[in-house]
Amino acid sequence: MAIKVNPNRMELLKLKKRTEIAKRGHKLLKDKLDELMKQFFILIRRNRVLRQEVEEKLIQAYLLFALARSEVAIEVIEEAVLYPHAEVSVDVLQKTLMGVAVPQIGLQQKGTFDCYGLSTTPAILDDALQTFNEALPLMIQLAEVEKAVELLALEIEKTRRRVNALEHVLIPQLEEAVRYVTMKLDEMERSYRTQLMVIKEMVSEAAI
Amino acid sequence: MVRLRTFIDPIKYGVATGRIKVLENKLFTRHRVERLVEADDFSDQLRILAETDYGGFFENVRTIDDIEEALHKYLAKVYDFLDELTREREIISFFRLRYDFHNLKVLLKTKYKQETGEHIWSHLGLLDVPRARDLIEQGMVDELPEVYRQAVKESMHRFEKERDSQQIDIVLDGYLYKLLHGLAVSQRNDFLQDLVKIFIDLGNIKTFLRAKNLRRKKDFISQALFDNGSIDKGIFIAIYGEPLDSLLEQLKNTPYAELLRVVFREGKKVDLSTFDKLVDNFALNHAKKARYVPVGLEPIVGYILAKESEVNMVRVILTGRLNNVPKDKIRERIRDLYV
Repeated sequence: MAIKVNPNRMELLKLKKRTEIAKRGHKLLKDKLDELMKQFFILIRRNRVLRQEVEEKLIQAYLLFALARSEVAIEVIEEAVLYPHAEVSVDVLQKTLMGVAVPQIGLQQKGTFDCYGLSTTPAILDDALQTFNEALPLMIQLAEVEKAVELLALEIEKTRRRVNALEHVLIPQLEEAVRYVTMKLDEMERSYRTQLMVIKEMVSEAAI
Repeated sequence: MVRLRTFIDPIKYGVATGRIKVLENKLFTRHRVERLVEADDFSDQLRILAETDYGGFFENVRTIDDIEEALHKYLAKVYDFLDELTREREIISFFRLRYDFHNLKVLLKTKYKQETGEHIWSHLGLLDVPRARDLIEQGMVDELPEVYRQAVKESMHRFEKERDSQQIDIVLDGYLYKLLHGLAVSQRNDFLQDLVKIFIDLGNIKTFLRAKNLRRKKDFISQALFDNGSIDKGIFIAIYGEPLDSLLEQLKNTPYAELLRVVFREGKKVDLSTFDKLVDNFALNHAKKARYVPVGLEPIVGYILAKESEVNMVRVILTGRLNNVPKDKIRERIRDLYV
């Protein structure tokens, strides 16, 4: 028994109350854990779909870019993208998902990606850059979901540790303590009663 | 004029044409290209190249950057050979000007972006690039050689007005094609003039289709198209807002109709993935006519174009292999051969 208590009625009442609170807390945390798991699986599924989409897009984009860069000398491609007029900015906000602060990443894009002469650069460069352009918002979404998954996983681990601590340590210890105090009190009562009976007998013997 | 050529050309180009005719036999054959594509790995490709005059340039090539460097040196050799064949500055400029304009684009963009761009300078042009950089940086554009002066001035003016780097490319490309046209006209050579017209037409068609795919506005296209083509740029501008079919309709009686039919697919978007190849093939097929000219400027120009196309093909095959591009994708992009 890890909890040291004085076996008296006051303590018993306190312990019973604590046990009750612990049990209620355990139920709540368990519900939270279940909901967290549900959200976690939804995010995992979204993450999987997004990752696949991003990877396919990037493979396609890199292949197209490899083809575009092989069409002309590399300095022509480098010159073409030397001074881009598209501007991309990212702002990170926070939103709460089941009490967990997860990032919400916004992407703002200004201007078009074609910043080169169209007659002297390979036509396939447009396709390559267009595909990269399509991949970027997906990558941002993926980053958002992946971070949320990571944070949620940490929260799940923390909640599970709490649930387990309540279920396997605190509640059994409290129950044990309640049992101990109850037994002690019973024992004391029995001992009083015996004492009383003995005294009563002694008194009645003396009267006779 | 024709009669005059009969006398002048053998004197001017006799020896050069003779040398070219021998060298034409050394250009890549379909068989060699197929071997290069089918080679098991990169070292196998290098072994095949070692059998050719590329061999010496590809001895220690390992990476894509090495390939670029080797091809750059090889092209430099091709152009040096051209200098040796003909002392005419116009002909040399005809091929080298585009590298000068590339350098000017780099210089202007790096000036405005305040970066250094020495690693992407081309050394195949005629312009003294470090000096041109100093002049442009210090705003002494008037000191630049005359051919480039107006082009640089106008592109700087346009950039400073619109703050759009694309304008630099548009203005300089326009000037480049204007100069090429001027050079061809000054040579009074029909083949060369037709060739420039084809370059301009193909450039305009390419710009038109790409701008359409990228949903650019009409203003953009009227700035980006070149003058002096066999198809007036006004036609392109007039039909820009109309469905794509109207381009085919407008050009149905031109040699470009066939090329357009290949890229036009069902639906609204045009597939431009192999457009570069079709464009190059079209120009090369025109250049092939030069092979039937017994003596003159034509075989020289044809040969240099063939060499440029060959260098491009080697780049496509080798960098494609190092970048793990599937063989069928590489094969899709292989150009027609000159011989």
